[in-house]
Amino acid sequence: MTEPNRLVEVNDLEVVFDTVEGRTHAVNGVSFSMDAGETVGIVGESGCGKSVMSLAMLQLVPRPHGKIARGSIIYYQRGKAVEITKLNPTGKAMRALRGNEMAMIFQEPMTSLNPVYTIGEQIMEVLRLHQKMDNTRAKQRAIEMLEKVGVPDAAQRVEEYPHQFSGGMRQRAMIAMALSCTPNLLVADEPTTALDVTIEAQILELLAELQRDINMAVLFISHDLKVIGEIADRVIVMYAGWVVEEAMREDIFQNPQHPYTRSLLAAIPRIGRRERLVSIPGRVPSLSQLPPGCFFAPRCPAATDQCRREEPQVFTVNQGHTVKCWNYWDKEVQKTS
Amino acid sequence: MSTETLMRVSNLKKYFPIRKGVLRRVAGHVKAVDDVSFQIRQGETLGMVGESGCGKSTTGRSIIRLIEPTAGSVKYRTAGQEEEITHFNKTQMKAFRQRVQMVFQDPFSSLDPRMSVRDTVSEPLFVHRMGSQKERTEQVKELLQTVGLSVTHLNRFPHQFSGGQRQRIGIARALALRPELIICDEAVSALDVSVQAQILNLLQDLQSEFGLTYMFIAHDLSVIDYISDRIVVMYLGKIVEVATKQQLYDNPSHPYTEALLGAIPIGEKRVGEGKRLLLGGTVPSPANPPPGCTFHTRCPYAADICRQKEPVLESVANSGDHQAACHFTTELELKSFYDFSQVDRSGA
Repeated sequence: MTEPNRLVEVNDLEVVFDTVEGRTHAVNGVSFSMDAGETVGIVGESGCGKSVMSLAMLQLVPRPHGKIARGSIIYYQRGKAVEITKLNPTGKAMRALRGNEMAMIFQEPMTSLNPVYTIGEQIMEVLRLHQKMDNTRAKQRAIEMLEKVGVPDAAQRVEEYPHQFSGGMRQRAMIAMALSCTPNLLVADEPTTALDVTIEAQILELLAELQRDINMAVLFISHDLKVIGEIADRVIVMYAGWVVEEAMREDIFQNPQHPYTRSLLAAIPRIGRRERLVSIPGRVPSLSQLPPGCFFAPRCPAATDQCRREEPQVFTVNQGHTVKCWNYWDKEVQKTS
Repeated sequence: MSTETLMRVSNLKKYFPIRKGVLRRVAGHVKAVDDVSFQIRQGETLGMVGESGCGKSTTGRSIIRLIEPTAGSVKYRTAGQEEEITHFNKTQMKAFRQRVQMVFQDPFSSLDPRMSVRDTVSEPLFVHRMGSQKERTEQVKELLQTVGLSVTHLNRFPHQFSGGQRQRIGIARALALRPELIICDEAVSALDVSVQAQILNLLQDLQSEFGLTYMFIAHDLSVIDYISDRIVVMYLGKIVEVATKQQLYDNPSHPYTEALLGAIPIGEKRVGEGKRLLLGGTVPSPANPPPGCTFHTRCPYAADICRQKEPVLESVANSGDHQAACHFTTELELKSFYDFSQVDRSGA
């Protein structure tokens, strides 16, 4: 049943947070899969659940307020299925996976590095813990990794503290740390958002290169469709906790089906295009006050009564391209049946 | 759009002292803005682009003396006369502030959390003693509608609004005094794309409705392209290129501009010549800028002269509007944005 290359399967995942305003569904029935070596991009606006999705992949959803309420994440460790959602988030088995098999990089490298340890010590910690290396070997490997991610004078800079690194260099150090145990899955949550465009280009290129080297799968999360388009093989569009569209990169850009995806594409200023930007009226709904029916209906130019009443089903446009929208059903599916 | 100059900035400098030791002696200077000259024309949108730390925000603040410039002149045209605003006294400055307003990046920190929308938007009217309290409230209501908010929002507080709505409040406040020039400092950077489009469209509508002039500071070249007529590119406290939008994207004349254009994500797989041009290294510290051309440490075309002699901002052949600061402007054949965005549509 499973593909030989399958690395991760997420089935009907639901992540909830208990807040003073009641239970909110940050991730609401999300399913997707990833193959070894593949880059999957998750795109969406703030509050769409993309970051929570990325945390859930490593069982890092902040507790006790947040928890995985339903569904499963299955990780194939050398062909053997491990149900991550069944593991104790702080248990030994989960900790053995994190760092070694799956790693994560975050948006703001300054807050994710410890300011009182040197860059070298922080990379070495990972290696000592997961690869059981001794200090000398770990240090050697840390220098190697820093060289690999393009930090100049690595042997010297390994002794420096995070504040002595620039933003781009810190992100490189983070990547070095994440990749030091050659993980099979890298979850990258907005890794270039805080960086300048020339530095962003460097980091994206570096990620792609390292990925080819060690055949690692990358789950790349960003609010920026254009960045996603540079790096991802497949794109998942999220809105208010739902996956509203999933397709190969070319299909998302050339043949978007969901009104939200279309609006997002039309809302991005593109160089050389002179026509007025299409803005989406209103804003992303608060997760504690979701509208009935389709969550996008209040902002959707094509919403019908059915959209305001019933949650849309997921329809298949063609192989690998799915869309969660009643309009698609009206137009395409009904016509043919 | 006329070609009349509204603001003329000449040789503007802003140095921040670095103090060290117990006596807080000045140990050096951060040259945030170093000898910058440009003009803002009546009715245009002048885009200012550059990476973090290049001095674009400091320039925006210095020209209206929110930060006192270290040296240089800023002339502003009032009733056909150019007046030197760096010599203005307090009263003159207050009158000048009616004409020039600012919209800030972060709508979360630029609004006072304890002031209602009514108080925030009417404060400039109150400070400049315009109208009675009742008239002011009427004006605030009108302004809210102009920026796409509702009068029911009048008595709410900033925390009750989303980022896009807060930015609208900030714009309403800037519009209250009917200014001529609005300086937008990264006004859409903190917003989601769908909301960013709303605000960009709003700014354009307001411009045509009230005949506003904008100076639009941003790091996003696609946003800059969308909103600007002319563009100033800054690097390490200096202007490296000034051009119309068309000239800049079709025919960049400074290697740094080329590198910026090459780094813009386009959302598609690139082929052959369309490959990204990668700039090595990072921006040097403005406290200790490299000698000669400040860009030579990262420039792929740098020669000996670049390390020794500082290039001046000069007109690029045959176009008075297009200026660049590079020794090799005429020799280099730089790639345009369109060269960088050659894409593979075969799906391979």
